[in-house]
Amino acid sequence: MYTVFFRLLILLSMFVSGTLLACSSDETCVEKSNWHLGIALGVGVRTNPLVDGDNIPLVILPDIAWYAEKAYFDNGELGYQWINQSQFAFETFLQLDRETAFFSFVHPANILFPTEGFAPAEPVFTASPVEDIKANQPKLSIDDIANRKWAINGGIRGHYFFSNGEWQLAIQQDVSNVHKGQQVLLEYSHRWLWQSFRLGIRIGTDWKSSRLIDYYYGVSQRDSPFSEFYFSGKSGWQTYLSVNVQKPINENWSWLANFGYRKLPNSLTNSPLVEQNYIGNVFLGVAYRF
Amino acid sequence: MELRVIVLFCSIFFCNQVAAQPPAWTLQPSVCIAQKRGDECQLNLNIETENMPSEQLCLFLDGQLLTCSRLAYFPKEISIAIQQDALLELKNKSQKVLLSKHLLIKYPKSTSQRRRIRPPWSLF
Repeated sequence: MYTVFFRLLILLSMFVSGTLLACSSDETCVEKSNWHLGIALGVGVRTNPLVDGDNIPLVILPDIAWYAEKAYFDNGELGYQWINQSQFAFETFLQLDRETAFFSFVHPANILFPTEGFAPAEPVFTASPVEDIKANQPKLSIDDIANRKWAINGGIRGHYFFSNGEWQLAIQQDVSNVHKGQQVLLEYSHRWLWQSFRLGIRIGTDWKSSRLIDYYYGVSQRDSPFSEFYFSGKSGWQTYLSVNVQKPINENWSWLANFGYRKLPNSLTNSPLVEQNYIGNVFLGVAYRF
Repeated sequence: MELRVIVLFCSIFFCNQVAAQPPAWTLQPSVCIAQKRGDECQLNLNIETENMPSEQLCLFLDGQLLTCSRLAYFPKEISIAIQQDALLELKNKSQKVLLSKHLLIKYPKSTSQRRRIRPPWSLF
């Protein structure tokens, strides 16, 4: 499967062509030392693969960025770019580990649009509903398990730019001592103009270490006294694809559509906490750039 | 006889006129563009000279000797690297400055925009 994935990446980077997009006036460029704010309104959802996990409704999408010459804040990531050349870039950064979002009440989306489910402070065991159980596989509800804490990842990331394409390699380590895990990301992204549409595609793979997977999706005594639910997560690759389409209406307004799909590995989906082997997201709406 | 006097007079007059012409040079380019401050900037200078004395002359860049040569072998082109504005001087054997030229280094205006690292609308 991964041979096919990498072939697809290479083919995409070789053959996808279009009008060259330099750093000029589109959204990939920002004015230095200015807040770059946008808000999108529409309808959308991000699926939650966890048992009893509520899908996250996407009605408001904020876009928040601030860049200085080297330092930056961009949609929750705080970083410092050491090298920024036309072909190469390299930065170090801190960001919240978004893995917790599916478990947590305090995900930004849940603050904007509170959903019903969140983990209680004390683990309480309840029998899993029969209708949610996949074939012969016991399930625990995330309402029944111990809290998963937010982790902060520190990372390094390198970029290689060419024409309209970009390769990206990032390595992250939990620096908050929550799960002490790592993740490695390899991504190819491409953007181009088609008539009046701005199109962007990202395809990548994300390796997550066994410590990370086990902390979030493993089940042990902290979650349940019943050993038949116990599960130890292993490292695994998550392949993903996302497509972004924008059509400007005027200087400030544009139509916005986002689609994304992430395949979850067996090392994670075998967990009794997980009932879907993918995470999907879709958003359709209008965006306003301040 | 009169003709001889006139010729002699003219030759002395024009000789003096020629001798009085000061040396001159044209250096191009004299401005170098570097990407940012501290970067080394390479200048390939074309040198055109006029009325140069025949004695040995030396080129100095900010007081540092670059090369010495006589008029017949005086370089038409010279490559130098500068990291800041510099003074190129032509001196004779007695260290008298015959000619000088300021070489300037300039930088492109820093762009007010930069490339975003994360894709827009990627908070969730």
